[in-house]
Amino acid sequence: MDASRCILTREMETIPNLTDIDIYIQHGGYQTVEKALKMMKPEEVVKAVTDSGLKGRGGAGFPTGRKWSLLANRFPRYLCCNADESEPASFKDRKLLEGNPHRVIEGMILTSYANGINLGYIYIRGEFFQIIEQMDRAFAQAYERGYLGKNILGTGFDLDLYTHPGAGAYICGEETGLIESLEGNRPYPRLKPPYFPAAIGLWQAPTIVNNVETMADVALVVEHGADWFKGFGTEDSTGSRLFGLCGHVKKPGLYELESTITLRSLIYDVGGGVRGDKKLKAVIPGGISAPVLTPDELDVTMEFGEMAKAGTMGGTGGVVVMDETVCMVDALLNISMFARHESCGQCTPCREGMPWINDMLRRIEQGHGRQEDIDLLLDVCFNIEGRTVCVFGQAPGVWPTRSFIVKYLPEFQAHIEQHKCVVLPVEESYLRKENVEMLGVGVFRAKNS
Amino acid sequence: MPTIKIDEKEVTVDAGLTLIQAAATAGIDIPHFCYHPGLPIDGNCRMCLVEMEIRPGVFGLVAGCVQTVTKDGMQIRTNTPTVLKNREGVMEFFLINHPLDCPWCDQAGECRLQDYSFEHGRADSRFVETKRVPPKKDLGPHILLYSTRCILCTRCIRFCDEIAGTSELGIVHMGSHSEIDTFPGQPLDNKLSGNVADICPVGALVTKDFLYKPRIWHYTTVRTICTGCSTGCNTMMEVMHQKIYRIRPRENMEVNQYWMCDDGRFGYHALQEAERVKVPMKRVNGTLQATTWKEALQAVSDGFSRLIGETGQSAVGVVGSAQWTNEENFLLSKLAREAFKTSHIGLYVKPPGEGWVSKSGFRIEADKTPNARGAREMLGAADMRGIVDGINAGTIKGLYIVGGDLGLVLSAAEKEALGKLECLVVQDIVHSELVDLAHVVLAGASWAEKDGTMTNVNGRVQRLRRAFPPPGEARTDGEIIRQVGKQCGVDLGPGAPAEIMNEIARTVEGYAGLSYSVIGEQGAMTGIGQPSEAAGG
Ligand SMILES: Cc1cc2nc3c(=O)[nH]c(=O)nc-3n(C[C@H](O)[C@H](O)[C@H](O)COP(=O)(O)O)c2cc1C
Ligand code: SF4
Ligand code: SF4
Repeated sequence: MDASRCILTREMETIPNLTDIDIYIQHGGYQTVEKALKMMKPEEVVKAVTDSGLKGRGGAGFPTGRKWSLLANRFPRYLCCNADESEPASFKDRKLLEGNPHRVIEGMILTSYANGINLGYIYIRGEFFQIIEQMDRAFAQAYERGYLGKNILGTGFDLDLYTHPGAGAYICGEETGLIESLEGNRPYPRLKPPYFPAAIGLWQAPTIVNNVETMADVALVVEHGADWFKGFGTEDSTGSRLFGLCGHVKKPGLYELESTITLRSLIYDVGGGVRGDKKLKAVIPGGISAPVLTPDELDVTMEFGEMAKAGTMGGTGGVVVMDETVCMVDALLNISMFARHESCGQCTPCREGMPWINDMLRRIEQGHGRQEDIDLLLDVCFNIEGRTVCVFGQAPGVWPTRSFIVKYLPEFQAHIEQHKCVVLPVEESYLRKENVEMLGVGVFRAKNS
Repeated sequence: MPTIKIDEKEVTVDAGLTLIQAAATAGIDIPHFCYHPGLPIDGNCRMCLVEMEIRPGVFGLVAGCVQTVTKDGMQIRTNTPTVLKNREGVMEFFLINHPLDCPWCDQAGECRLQDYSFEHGRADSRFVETKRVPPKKDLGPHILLYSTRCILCTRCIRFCDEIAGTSELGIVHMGSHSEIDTFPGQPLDNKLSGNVADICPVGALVTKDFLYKPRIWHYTTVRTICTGCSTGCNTMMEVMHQKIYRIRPRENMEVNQYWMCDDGRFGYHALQEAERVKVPMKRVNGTLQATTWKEALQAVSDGFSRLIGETGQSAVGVVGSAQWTNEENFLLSKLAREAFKTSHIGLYVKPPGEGWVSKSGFRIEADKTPNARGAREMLGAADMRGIVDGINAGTIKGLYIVGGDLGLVLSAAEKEALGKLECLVVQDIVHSELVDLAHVVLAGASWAEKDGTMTNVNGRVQRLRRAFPPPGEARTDGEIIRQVGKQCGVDLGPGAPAEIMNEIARTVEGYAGLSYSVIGEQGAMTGIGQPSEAAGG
């Protein structure tokens, strides 16, 4: 692990008062903005980001350069930096904004410059009110120093950035829900097609929605160059990422690492192992939406592609470690409570399916499960997946549900058979890979969907 | 126009049509709840998912209401196991929390949930949890919400937002707690509010007016038009035992699209509650007394015979009605010219009410009569000022005036003039100040009791249809006119409205080319052909 790459976290950890623009400037801040606005053409900035291979850090891992290239050739265009971070087990954006707001602002300025944008928002989860205040101060400082506003640094480029407090729902983080919310509406995700933000976004204009960490990475790419960025990680997952390690580990926290690290190493080397040296039972590798992994599946690297091959996803990089004391039915019940609570209610399968799944799981957890409930749960998952307006139906709806049930089937069965909560010994609690495959049910996607 | 393939059928349709519409042209129904042709697309119910070829040989689910026809060669499948499984899934999702109270639901028999349950539902229930029971709500003067039945398709919200433009409705709460509601203190109260009950695909929104009336399958439906104003919304009138129970709009893109206003929708009560003239009457010793048709007709000819002179000298006047059909007004003008030998023809003009235009352009006209334009064209008269002047000048001494209006009001000048007449014959349906002045009263028929056509404000000639016969001894107005003619020794020609329309087409300017078959269900515009005989009204 090359510590030189841990810029975002090292800056935050080693420089006191980095949130103050003068301190930030003393340490070289905003030079990248000056360099880019004065010496680079917008296309060159786009090219650098495309060449860097940067993939979005908001969950889907969509290549950022490609996203930008899809912008409809219309003006005005808008930027929305997505700081709604509400995925349970994810806290990277919050940490980044708390510690290093000007990095994010730099990224927003560069993104706007690159894409011909003159107005941008950062949509910040409403509960983060201190961050919103701090961000307002940071914007004010940037205006004062001439990095925002009219004719920035005498280059003729204008940019206004505003904070917008989140409307208090997880779905406000879905990019089109965010746009609706910014427009003052209920955050009902829009139909895609036709409402891809790059085509028809905020106020019907072409819009970029990018995650907070993605913005900070854009600043790094432009500062150090695409080649430097690509020097970290792998071709599939360039740069390094912020991983939020939480749950039953000895050293939970935010770690900036290359994706070449394996999940096992992340937990045992970086995180110091399982709390109390207990046995590890399960890991959710990328925010609670990501399908769960068993103790047999820890030797996968954190790369987006490798995660997908393992039947899960890199997601937001929020890693939840669960030790042998965890009841998997209870853990899934907890996730499904979240899904039930946060379903926006717009479309039928998700609105009706999430509470149903949650009710069934509660019944099983309380010892009232029926043998047919397992099949029923999986069939309800089938009827939701791919049939909803937005991805919420899958993540955090179907994917955790199906992966928990199929992989930890023995523990679910034990609940049903013994009519009570049963925490099986780790080895007995989950199916081995071969057995999962024999079930004929895809864990990530239904086989026949 | 792209040619696309839907379930092995090739259809050539306009680009931009949704798959639901394109499939309909091929006779294939793609089930749906939230899609409504008159409302913006929302895509929330997920019932209309069908499979489309997204890459060569690879099919994926798309929403039939969102996906449009874009290019030649698109392949759509509406019938695959995946599509059917989705419909079954969506139906199950809708029904798990549904109260299944069909036996006492107003929507029973015309409910999409019922219909699609039949086609795509399961016979058993897999849901053993507790159902959600959101509250019943009184949304406004006309509308109740049974939230338990609501499937949150948002048709009602989109209607208020985009058609009425009044935006009273919205969703409160979130996820499975979502409910349709109004803002506190701002009820669902707009001129088009009744439409939300029509477009609600289930029994969630119902009109208070129709609540717990007899089951819908016991009604007869009459396809007619509204007579509340000169827009002439196309309607379906539901009747049973000579009573109207409900009036709903009928699609006509040229007139009312899919809508009608609340005044028109609920206006039938005024007719049903009115004190109807059910028998002919004549004045005896200063008071009106019921009489037989024979005597009443005799009284008309007795009263007028002295006054009818040579053409040009006749002292009889005739006043038509904008509540009457074209055919009736046409017969009336014939009666005037041929039997009464008079050219003193007028038209009663009702003082205008309030007009209104909705956000989407739906118009409620200020002219609260249905056929002012048609009556003018049939009678060749625009008002009754000439008649009043004639009475005051002493050239008109007898008047045959027809009403049909529930809210008829006379000006002081009109009343004074009518009071001077030697013989006033009134053909009307309700007791009014006009009837109070009459010497002879002939009991006529309301708009629900006769056939004919009316010409709306834009010149569209549309069919009015009879639902049941007039009450008591009352008769249809055309029939009465023909009998009066006969009493005066003149045969006014064929009496069937369709035949009269053929005569109108031959003789009235602008009506050439029209016939009941041309007018059909959707009406036809005047001015489409040249009259074959001399023009004139
Ligand atoms: C239900 C749901 C919630 C989401 N919440 C967030 C969020 O809180 N923050 C975020 O950056 N992206 C979130 N996303 C992903 C965004 O839709 C979008 O893909 C992302 O902001 C794009 O940024 P990126 O390309 O930089 O990753 C969410 C997606 C879904 C489906
Ligand atoms: S999938 Fe769920 S969250 Fe997404 S639009 Fe549908 S109801 Fe809302
Ligand atoms: S009340 Fe009716 S129209 Fe309105 S959302 Fe519910 S089901 Fe749809």
